[in-house]
Amino acid sequence: MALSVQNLSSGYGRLQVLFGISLEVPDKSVISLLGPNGAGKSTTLWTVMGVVRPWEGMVLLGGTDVTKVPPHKKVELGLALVPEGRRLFPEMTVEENLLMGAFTKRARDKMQDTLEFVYALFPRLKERRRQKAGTMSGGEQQMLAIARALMSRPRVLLVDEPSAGLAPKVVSDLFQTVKRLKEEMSVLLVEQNVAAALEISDYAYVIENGRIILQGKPEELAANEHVKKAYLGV
Amino acid sequence: MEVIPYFLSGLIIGSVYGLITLGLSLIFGVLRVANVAHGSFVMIGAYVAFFGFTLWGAPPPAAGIGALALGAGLGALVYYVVVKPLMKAGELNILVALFALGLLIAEAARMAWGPDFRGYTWSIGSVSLGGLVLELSKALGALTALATAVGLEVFLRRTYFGRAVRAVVQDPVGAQVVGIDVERVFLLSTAMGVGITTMGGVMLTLFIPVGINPYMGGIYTLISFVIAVMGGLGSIMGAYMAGLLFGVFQSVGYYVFSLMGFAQPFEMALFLAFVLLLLILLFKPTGLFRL
Ligand SMILES: Nc1ncnc2c1ncn2[C@@H]1O[C@H](COP(=O)(O)OP(=O)(O)O)[C@@H](O)[C@H]1O
Ligand SMILES: [Mg+2]
Repeated sequence: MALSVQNLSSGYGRLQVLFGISLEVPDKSVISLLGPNGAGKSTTLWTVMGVVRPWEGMVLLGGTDVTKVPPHKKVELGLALVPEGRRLFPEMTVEENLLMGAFTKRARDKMQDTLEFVYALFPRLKERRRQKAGTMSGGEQQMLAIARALMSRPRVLLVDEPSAGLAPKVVSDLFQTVKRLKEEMSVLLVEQNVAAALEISDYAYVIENGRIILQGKPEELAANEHVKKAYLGV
Repeated sequence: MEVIPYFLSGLIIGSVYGLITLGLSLIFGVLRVANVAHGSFVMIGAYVAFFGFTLWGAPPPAAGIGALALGAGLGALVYYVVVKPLMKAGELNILVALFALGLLIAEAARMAWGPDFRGYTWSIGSVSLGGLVLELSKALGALTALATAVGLEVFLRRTYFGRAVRAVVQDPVGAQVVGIDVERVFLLSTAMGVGITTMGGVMLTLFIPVGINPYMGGIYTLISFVIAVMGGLGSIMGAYMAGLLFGVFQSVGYYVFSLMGFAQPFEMALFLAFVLLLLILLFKPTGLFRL
């Protein structure tokens, strides 16, 4: 298992947000975590990454317990996060952002190769490589956020709502790209856009109020009454 | 053009004002912490210069290197003892603790070295420049300041660690997720910032022949804050340029106010510099320069 989250709980201050989340991300797969606004999707990714401290439970990366490992060391171990809000370096150029993505020792050595790989994946970024990140459109910034995470050569990529604020056409292109990443790594995709996410997923979890309430193959979830009513609008 | 010498001497002292502000701006940019104990480290640097010179005959450039190392050590200590433990408790707690630390350092200095004003003279000659008799010691202080500012800027742009610092300034969470050890950046930035400030204190003594005193820090905390805000908090070259501007403003202001027959031209010039700050903030709230 590339990533295994077991019974994870966490929150902010005294406020508990996650109540025993468990999910599995097998090698070379796209797994999505779906749910409404405020359900705890981002908190799950922050906690897996270690930016938010876990209260209980375990995070295993390739079978190794990394629950208490700080975020920068997790990146070295092969976990990467495309965070909510993108968190780019706005005053740096596109290429500088990408080079920052290869900050860890392991990634630094392969930097040139990885750079070519992400430019091939997002030719748009190559065209814009001297532009400041803060001045790009939302879609371009989202590409850059994903590309920057790829620069660290992850085994498991966590992506938080890449579709947020993007036009439908841009979203479908971006999702096709995410799907292609499966050849190289595993992806845990957080989304509110359930229909689009199910299309590219191998398996999906539904989170509400900090708990996993449903899970299954995309076609099973798409047929589920609750999912249909609450998320697919049918 | 009698004003030219004042303009030039403003640039020279302004360069050192810039140097004194670099550390404050760096620490603010990286940790979002306003180091209100700032002036105390300027004061420590001034005493390093004084004792270095009078006890060991060490010239100020040597004292500067010693102060850089001493200040870096003190900065690391401040990070571990004050800043890091209070990071979770919030900015206001850190501010109050640093304020207390500043007072504590000044009182400790008074107990150790007494309340008297001290000074020394290091003469290495002078040149005449545009009507100004420029002491070479001051020119050296100004050049050291320039070299430090440029060196720091190059360091921040060219080295891996420097880029990590800039990343933390621009987005600390983004920095964390690309694999930067943000705490380490905090520690080293505080050490570097305080080290440079303490070295700035050494260079400052070249301009204040009898002004070394345990309580001298307060005014430099104030001046550095004004300059840092003018330059855009967190911007290194911005802080340096704003230091030059402040020095020129103060020096030329002094000239103008003494022509006009003011009894306290120096205080008036300082007052005017604060007016300048208000104007800048009014029209350009992010400061004159950006990172
Ligand atoms: N930094 C924070 N401090 C306090 N509460 C937070 C913070 N971030 C999120 N929350 C709360 O945690 C809950 C889950 O938020 P989040 O994980 O962002 O949900 P989602 O990503 O599914 O929209 C919400 O109730 C939100 O208000
Ligand atoms: Mg979210």
